Amino acid sequence: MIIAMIGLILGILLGWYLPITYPSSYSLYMSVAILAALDSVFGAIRSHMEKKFNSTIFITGFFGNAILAGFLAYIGDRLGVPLYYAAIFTFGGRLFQNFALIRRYIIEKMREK
Amino acid sequence: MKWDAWKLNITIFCTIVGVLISLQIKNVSGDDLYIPLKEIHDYRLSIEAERKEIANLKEIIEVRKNSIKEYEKAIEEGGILEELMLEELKEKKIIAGFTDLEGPGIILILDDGTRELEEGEDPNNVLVHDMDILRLVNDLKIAGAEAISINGQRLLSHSEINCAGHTIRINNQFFAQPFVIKAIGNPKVLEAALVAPGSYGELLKQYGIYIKVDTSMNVQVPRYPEEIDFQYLKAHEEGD
Repeated sequence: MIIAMIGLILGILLGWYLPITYPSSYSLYMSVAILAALDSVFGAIRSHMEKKFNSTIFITGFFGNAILAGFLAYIGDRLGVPLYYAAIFTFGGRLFQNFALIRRYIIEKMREK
Repeated sequence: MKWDAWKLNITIFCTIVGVLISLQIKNVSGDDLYIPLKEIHDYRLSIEAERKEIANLKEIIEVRKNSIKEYEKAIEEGGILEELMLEELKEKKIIAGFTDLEGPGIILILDDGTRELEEGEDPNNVLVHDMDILRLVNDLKIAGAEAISINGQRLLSHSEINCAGHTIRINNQFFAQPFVIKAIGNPKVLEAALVAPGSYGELLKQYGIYIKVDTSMNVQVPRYPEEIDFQYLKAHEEGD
């Protein structure tokens, strides 16, 4: 959990000073992809607490979900259907679920001590 | 701290997510908008125009205040109010076009060309059209003409210039060639607007249309002869 925070902060600082930009028309796809990636990270933390973590599943999930979410948003834009809602609801819902589980595990751990 | 696969993975991928998030934040906040120089220039111009208008409005307020003062003074002294009103009425009549006017200006005579047509040439090239007169009148207005008449018809804001076969309709009356356009204004400027190289008058001349411009120190422009009957107009009263 702590190491995730450290990584996140490190990444934000790194990204802030990197001179990388992309067209603002892609920002919607990017935001959905970020949501998917964030969900993967939370999933990884949860699976670690359940002692079921598998790095292959994590890495493929991380990239697969992000790419699929961005692609879905793009297809939705082409078709005129806001398909990115699907990604937002799925990943947003799972994010909270994962967070709830992580919280529960941490509280249990603290009680054991 | 032991570096197992989990910690390594989480650190790397959290860093990636962080980079993405910060890129997205930078992108969405949109500090670096692409604005061409021309747009900046346009904005500057429009700001200047607005400022000028504000100054103008302030001037108008000043003028109105002065006239109110004048009226009040006239009321106090008694009797002169009517005179003032009559004077103002005269002024308004000049503005509206119900007064015969005279002053320095130009007289423009326009007629169909007399040159031989070339083989297969469109005869329209040497005829005077309503569009030609419209263009010339507009050129005169640009050059600062204060009053314009065509063949003795005063041009007002609602006067039409329309094609009617070989004649032209102005103020609901039909006129044939030659067209005599009189304009009051700075004679030199008005003449220049019609004969300068690159002007529309010069172009007409090149086509072979007869066009003659005379400056005069005393051009007479008649008043609009009829009543204007408005059907839709209504004065907007302030404070309604």
